[in-house]
Order: sequence, then structure tokens, then C-alpha cells
Amino acid sequence: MPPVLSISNLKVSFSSDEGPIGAVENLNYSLNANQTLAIVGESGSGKSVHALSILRLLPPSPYCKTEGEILFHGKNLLDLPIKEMRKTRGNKIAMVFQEPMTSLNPVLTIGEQIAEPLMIHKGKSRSEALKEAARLLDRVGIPDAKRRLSNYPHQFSGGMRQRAMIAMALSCNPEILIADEPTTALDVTIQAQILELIKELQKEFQMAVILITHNIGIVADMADQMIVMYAGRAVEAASMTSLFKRPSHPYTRGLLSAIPSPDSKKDRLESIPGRPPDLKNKPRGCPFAPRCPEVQARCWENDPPSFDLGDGHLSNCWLLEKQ
Amino acid sequence: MTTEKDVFHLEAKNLRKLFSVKEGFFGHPKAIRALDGISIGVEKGTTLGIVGESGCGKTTLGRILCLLETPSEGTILYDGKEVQNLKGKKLKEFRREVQIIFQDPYASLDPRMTVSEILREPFIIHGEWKNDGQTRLLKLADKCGIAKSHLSRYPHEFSGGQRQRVGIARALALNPKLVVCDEPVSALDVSIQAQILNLLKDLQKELGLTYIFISHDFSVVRHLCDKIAVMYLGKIVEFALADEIFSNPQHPYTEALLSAIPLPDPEKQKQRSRIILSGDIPSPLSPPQGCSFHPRCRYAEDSCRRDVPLLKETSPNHQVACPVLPLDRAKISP
Ligand SMILES: Nc1ncnc2c1ncn2[C@@H]1O[C@H](COP(=O)(O)OP(=O)(O)OP(=O)(O)O)[C@@H](O)[C@H]1O
Ligand SMILES: Nc1ncnc2c1ncn2[C@@H]1O[C@H](COP(=O)(O)OP(=O)(O)OP(=O)(O)O)[C@@H](O)[C@H]1O
Ligand code: SF4
Ligand SMILES: [Mg+2]
Ligand SMILES: [Mg+2]
Repeated sequence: MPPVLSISNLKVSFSSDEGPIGAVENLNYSLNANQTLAIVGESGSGKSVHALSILRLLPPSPYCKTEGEILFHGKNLLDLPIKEMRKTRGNKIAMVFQEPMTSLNPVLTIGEQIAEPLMIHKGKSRSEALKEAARLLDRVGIPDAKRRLSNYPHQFSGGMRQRAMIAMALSCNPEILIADEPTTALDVTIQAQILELIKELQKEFQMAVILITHNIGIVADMADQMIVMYAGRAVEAASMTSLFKRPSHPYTRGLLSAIPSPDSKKDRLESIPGRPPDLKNKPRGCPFAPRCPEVQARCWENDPPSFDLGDGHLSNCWLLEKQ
Repeated sequence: MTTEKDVFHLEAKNLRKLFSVKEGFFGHPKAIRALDGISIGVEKGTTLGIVGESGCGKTTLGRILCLLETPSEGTILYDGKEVQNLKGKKLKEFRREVQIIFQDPYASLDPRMTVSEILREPFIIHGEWKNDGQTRLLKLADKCGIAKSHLSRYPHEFSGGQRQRVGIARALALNPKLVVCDEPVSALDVSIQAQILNLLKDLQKELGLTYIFISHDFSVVRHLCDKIAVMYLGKIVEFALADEIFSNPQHPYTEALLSAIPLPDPEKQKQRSRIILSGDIPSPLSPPQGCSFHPRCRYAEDSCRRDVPLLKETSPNHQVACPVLPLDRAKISP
């Protein structure tokens, strides 16, 4: 079966006074129906920007430039006429945004906002759409859903807003759901419920899911594939099992050891010392070199290509060259 | 915990908060009971964790404690003195000493100001900019993981985690004495999360800061907190030393919460048994009678459906609001 989504050589950059900011560089992956891809990585590594580029929600050129190919059922979304794009967005490809308040309209009620895509894309009447909105809100665990349709976003708690957005994204049964940190504001029990719901809908509608998160616990439970991003690029990509069995990039290993464990208490948490590179003038060589505990002489000189460790496990690190 | 027992740095007594919302599109206003009789205190130099389900009132409690919202009922004591009616200079002084890191970083940062303007503001408001303001600002930004080249940029040019760090830096700018941290690290990747949590810990050691730390993430809470209060639908259902909560959770809701923490390992995750709560999540528009957890509780008895359980001490430093203790776990296991 051909993939639903296939991204190749995706590059996104923003212009600034001091030169272009390379937010995403050379990203490649493909995603099948009914599959879940997890994207984890450093804050500022380009996870959200990559997601916004799929939906063409980034600021216009020349301030922001997107290059490469984003094929949705074989059609390049980057070339799609605006009108077609509007029909796709929120309907065939839906997104849960990282910060609910940026995408909820403060002057419209929650009910109106969930009902809107149903009226636009599915041709439902207002009252049908509102009924459906109540059902969706209920499924994401908002008690008394029907009575809360008339609330405004500021009358919802942080986690309730996040769930309202999830309801909105799921309303049209999208083929691809992009969930950008969908459960950061949710406690574990509701988190589990939402993830179950996503899994159910995935089965029912063969939905493909891109799950952006820094909660590796969630990833372990949900995803088939995982990409680890650092400074705008994928530094490791593998199936879930392979990645946990042999995390191969030093950044991935650092990330895994920084997870605070619920069953022990340490005085200090592990962190990866240092900062990610300035995306405006990235140094030569491996972008992780300045922070890498295993850095070697050549890391400073040449950017490591991606090495195939078998079974589609890819990693960009010189240490892996000979294996 | 080193401080005297009975003097709280910040204390709330019997807080209640009702919000009025319209019910249905044409309906009459109805009250949401966001806080329902909360009494809690935090000792100087310690960290109090507040955990609980989404919508249970954590943010509302945090905002009321910072005097950003008025309670419908109840009192707030700062250093033993009532503060909810403070005005003018006294209020300004309170605001300087008591800071909050907001849950939603985007909504709390002015989109028209650059990061350096945002961070300069507190110094200017409190007349501390003068000579060394700029130096202090740079040091602060650095400590919070904000790159120098980011200072001239606007909030929308940042990633979620970068914005959150700006919010953290702003709260810490003037060396506050108490900080309410509302989900301060949930938008951050684990490595930066660790850096920020370590920073909060260092500042506490250095300056004797007091924290009220709101989070859903038990593993984060555990690393930082001395005591933990578990909230459910506007009430505290369990309150104990942090280690106690983990080693000896007593309220059925706490038990379920702990069992649902995702483990960062697919093998371990598959093996454990999770308590998935079923039953209706109660609504603050019409809270159930008796214990508000009873519709989802595996242990509920008749009295739970009838009487509101009060917080009772089950052992020193451990309070629980549940009448069926100790839980008979054998009874319910499948
Ligand atoms: N509108 C913009 N203008 C300029 N730079 C931007 C803009 N949006 C994002 N960036 C930059 O692009 C980089 C990638 O940002 P992105 O939001 O994708 O990060 P992220 O991986 O989602 O991080 P987080 O985990 O913190 O959400 C960041 O360095 C950010 O500062
Ligand atoms: N300004 C408001 N007007 C009306 N209702 C409100 C308002 N603020 C909060 N509420 C309601 O009060 C209850 C508690 O909200 P609060 O934001 O304190 O929850 P929370 O525990 O912080 O949740 P979360 O973990 O999702 O952030 C919710 O039912 C919410 O809808
Ligand atoms: S290529 Fe070198 S610097 Fe980069 S991650 Fe590998 S060892 Fe570290
Ligand atoms: Mg992001
Ligand atoms: Mg909140």
C-alpha cells in the first residue's frame, strides 16, 4: 500500500537580520495508514514548524521558506491551490496545536468552534453539528458536555481547552491526525483516556497519526516508529522496539537518561549540559558535537550522514560508521 | 523540612470559589464550584506540590493564592497576616515577593514586546532597572536557558518550550520569595525540563525560596516537592509528605493516579497493571452527593454516596478524605 504521507528533503527557514534560521533541514519520512509516528526532540528542534509546514500554516515567503516535497496520497501539498488546501486542512488532515489558546478563538463559544468544521466540511446543519460537538466533548472526557458547549475558552481550564481542541481535530475523522504535544496539560488518567480514544479512532478509520511529544512514556505506549530531532534535523529514526533496544545517537541516549523516573528520587536530574546550536550560524560538523560526550576529532569537521543499522534503523553519528 | 511547624509562609483557610457561567445557549447563569473548602499551607523554604485531574481547580487555587483572583469565601495568610484586602504599596510589595509562572505561556506574554522588553518590565515596575538591571537581566536569561540572540525576538518566533522559559525568567526576575509554578515544565523536553527543575532547586537552596508546584506529572513532582496535596473536584482528598504519597497512597483516586503514570520503557509498560477509571467524571456544575469520587471509585460504599468525607489524619503528616480506609485491595482485584 502506498504511504498516505511521504515527506522528502523538507527544509523550512525563517529570514532574520542576521541571516536565515534553519528551523527544519532535510527531513525525510513516510507514514502509512493506521500507523503512528512519534517525533521527539529538543525544544526548538523544529517539531512544530515541520507540522505547520504540512498544513501550510507557516508565515508566507519570503519571511518563511518551505522547500522539498510533502506528498499526501502522491500529491504535493506545497503545490496545492489554496482552495484545495482549505478543503484538506481540518478535514483530511487535522492538527491539535501545542498551545490551545493560540488556536481557539476567544470570542466564540467552544460549541461553535467544534461545530464549525462539521458545518463547513461535512455539510451538517448547525443543530446537528452542535449535537455532534457535545458527543465529541463527552468522548474527550469533559463532564456535562452539553451544558458546557456555551462556555468560552477562558472559562475552560488548561486541560479542558486542550481536550476541546482534540475534539475539534477529530470531528471530521481525518486521514492524518497531527497531535503536537496533545496531552501536556492532562493528568495521567485523562491522558490514558485520550490516547485510548485516538487508538480507537485509528483502528476504526485507519487514521495515520503523527504524535509530537517529549513524553517518552506516551511514545512507548502508542507509536510504531519514532524520529528523534535535534537542531532542525532527524538524528535518529527507527521502529519503537529497535530504538529502545539500541538507542544509537548520543543525543537519544542523553534524552532517555534525562527522564525523571516515577519510582525513584534523585537529588539532581540528569540533563544534557550545554545548549543547542544557534540555528542562524550552525557550526561545521555535527550539530551535536559541542554537547556530545562521545565527540571525536572528525565530528567537528564533517556532518555525519545517516547510517543504516539494519531494519530501517537510521542514525546520524560518526560512531556508527563501521558497524 | 527545617522550619517551625505552625508558621506558614502562605496559608489558605477554607477557600471557596464559584464561577458563574451561562448554561446552554439561552439558559440562566449557573455556578461552577471550582474550589470547595480548601485549607492548606506551605512552610518557608519548602515545596508544596498540587496534583489532580484536569479541571479540578489547581490553576484557580494558584491564582487566588497570588491574589490574581478573589475567592468567594475564605482567607489567605501571608507570613501569618491576612492579605486578601491589600491595596496600594502593600499590594505591590506582595506582588513582588509572590510570583506566578503561568500555565499557558503564549497567552501570558505580550505579543508586541520583545523578550528583552518582557524581562525588563518587572525591573522597571519595581524601580530596580537603574545601573545593574541589564547585567541582571542577561544573567537571568542565561540561567533560564534563553540564548542571547533570542532577546530581540518576539514571542511568536519561539517554539513552545522557548516561550515557557521566558515566562519562567520573568517570574524569577526580582528574586521573589514565593513562586506559584503552574505546570512550569510540561511544555519542555526532558533535558531542558531537568535543567529548569535543577535551577528551581538551586535557587531554593541559595535563596530559601518557597514553591507551590502545580503539575500532573508525578515523576516531576516527586523530585521537587516536600509535601503533596492531591485535589479532586475542588477539594483536597489526600495530603502527605511526598515520599509517603508514593510509598503509601491511601485515597483510591491517588492510587489510580499513581498506577496510570506512563513508564518510559515499552516492556515495563506492557507488564504493569493500570487502574483505568471508569464511570462518569463528575461535573463542577452539579457535583455528586457525598464523596465526589464515588461514581468512579472501586471501593465505594453506601456512606460514600451519602456523606462528604472530611480530611482526617491517618498517621502523622498524612491526611486522607475517605471513609473506607484502609483500602481492601484484595476485595477488588480481579
Ligand atoms: N515565526 C517564526 N519566526 C522565526 N523563528 C521561528 C518562528 N517559529 C519558530 N521559529 C524557530 O524555529 C525553531 C523551531 O521551532 P519549533 O516550534 O518547531 O520547535 P519545537 O521543536 O516544536 O520545540 P518545542 O518542543 O519547544 O515546542 C525554533 O528555534 C524557533 O525559535
Ligand atoms: N473564568 C472562569 N469562568 C468560569 N469557569 C471557570 C473560570 N476559570 C475556571 N473555571 C472552571 O473552574 C474549574 C477549575 O478550573 P481550573 O483552571 O482551576 O482547573 P485546573 O485544575 O487548573 O485544570 P487543568 O489541569 O486542566 O489546568 C473548571 O471547571 C473550569 O471550567
Ligand atoms: S557525530 Fe560525533 S559529535 Fe555527533 S553525535 Fe556522533 S559522536 Fe557525537
Ligand atoms: Mg513545538
Ligand atoms: Mg490549570
